[in-house]
Amino acid sequence: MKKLDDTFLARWLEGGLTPEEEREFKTSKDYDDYKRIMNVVDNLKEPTFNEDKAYASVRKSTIEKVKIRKVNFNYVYGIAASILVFLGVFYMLNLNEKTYNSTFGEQLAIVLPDGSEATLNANSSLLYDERKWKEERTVELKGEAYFKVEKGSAFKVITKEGVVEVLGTQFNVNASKNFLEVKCYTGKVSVSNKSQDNIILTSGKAYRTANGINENWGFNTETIFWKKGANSFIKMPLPKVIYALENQFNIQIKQSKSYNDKRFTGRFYNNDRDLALKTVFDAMSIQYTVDGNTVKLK
Amino acid sequence: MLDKDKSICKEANFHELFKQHSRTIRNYIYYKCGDNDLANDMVQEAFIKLWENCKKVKSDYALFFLKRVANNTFLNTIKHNKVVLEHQKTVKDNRDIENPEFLLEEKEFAVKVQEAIASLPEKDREVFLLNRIDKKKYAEIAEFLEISIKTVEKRMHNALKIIRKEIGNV
Repeated sequence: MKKLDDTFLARWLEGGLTPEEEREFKTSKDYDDYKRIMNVVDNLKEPTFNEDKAYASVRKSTIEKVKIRKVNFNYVYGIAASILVFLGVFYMLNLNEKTYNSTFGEQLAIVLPDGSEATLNANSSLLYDERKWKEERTVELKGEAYFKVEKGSAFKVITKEGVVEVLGTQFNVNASKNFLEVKCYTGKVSVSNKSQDNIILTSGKAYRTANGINENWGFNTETIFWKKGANSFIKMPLPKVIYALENQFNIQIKQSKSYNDKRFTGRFYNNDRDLALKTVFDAMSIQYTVDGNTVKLK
Repeated sequence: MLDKDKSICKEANFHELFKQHSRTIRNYIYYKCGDNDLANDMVQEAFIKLWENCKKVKSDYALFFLKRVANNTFLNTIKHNKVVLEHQKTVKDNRDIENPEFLLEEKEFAVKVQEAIASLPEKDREVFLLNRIDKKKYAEIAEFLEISIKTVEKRMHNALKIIRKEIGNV
């Protein structure tokens, strides 16, 4: 069985591929994308650094034996100084924004300023404004997270597909392209999105919207599977299961068809990639081949 | 035996170390947080600490010392902004003038790449940019960050993979 090659691209960049690997890579679909990306990357440069000015400043605080200036880290009065002018595009930076990203196969536990907790599943990101937290508890979520919310002011999770609002509860939010799934474990949760105004979920109730199709169902609140090392699904559209496999194991799954109509009910464990692939695709009667980090579905 | 001539407490040596390492430390912190002011402050703090400890630190060890101080001070003031890099305009060829759509598409693509880089996990991003922008080899990066070369390669690979995925998702 071929070992997972998670350094391939690094070796390519340093010219460390074998002639065979090099040839094979150049003929692959991916190659052009990566080449194009590197053309942009290699034209990037860091912000200017005025070395002499910096040294003069250091010198004042050291060699000239002036009383050491305490650096003021309070940026509340400052305005974001790093403004990029890129071919007419301007970025404004928010100094109080905190962002958390989990990588492939990683779960990330976060404590929010009021003690509420969020655990991110693989390849997810969460963003919030620290300064505004006292008045409104709002986070932006891409991906999946399990929330334990302390009682307090309204707590909102904003995703591309809708907004989830709670007052002291535990719930799971899974959000990606044209997809939002919310499961309420304790307390009450309200979900509002483009199609329906307000859905209230109580303990054991779940709601999903996928490509405009909405569903409600009940589930067992005893276990939150992805937190315990497995990802579980109930009638989940197959593309989303595929997405979860890719996030957990850092692989690419190439589909020959769209599989939008296929649904998967079951679970895969996070510690064994090949078993997980077998579990999902055998259940769906889909044949596949594995080549390093790429899986091709037939 | 400590060579007194190499002592960091001598301004010439201290200044030399500043010339050697200040940019690296500044970039390292900048790639982590995207805040230019903060990165500049961290560099200065680190060198001030180095001066205060000049009797105890050997020149060879200075870079690690600086990195650790910068990192620790940085962790105490975590601010995460977008890591924003300037894009140098590549050489224009006649195609650009004849085909404005192509030029616009290229601009949009470049923006997507930058956004993708800004969204990378910090650990992957700092390795990736130290290699691509500071032109540090994997072995150098491994030594500097005190991790294995394999880990550096994994983070590079992961970074590029994520960038591609991010671009595909837009």
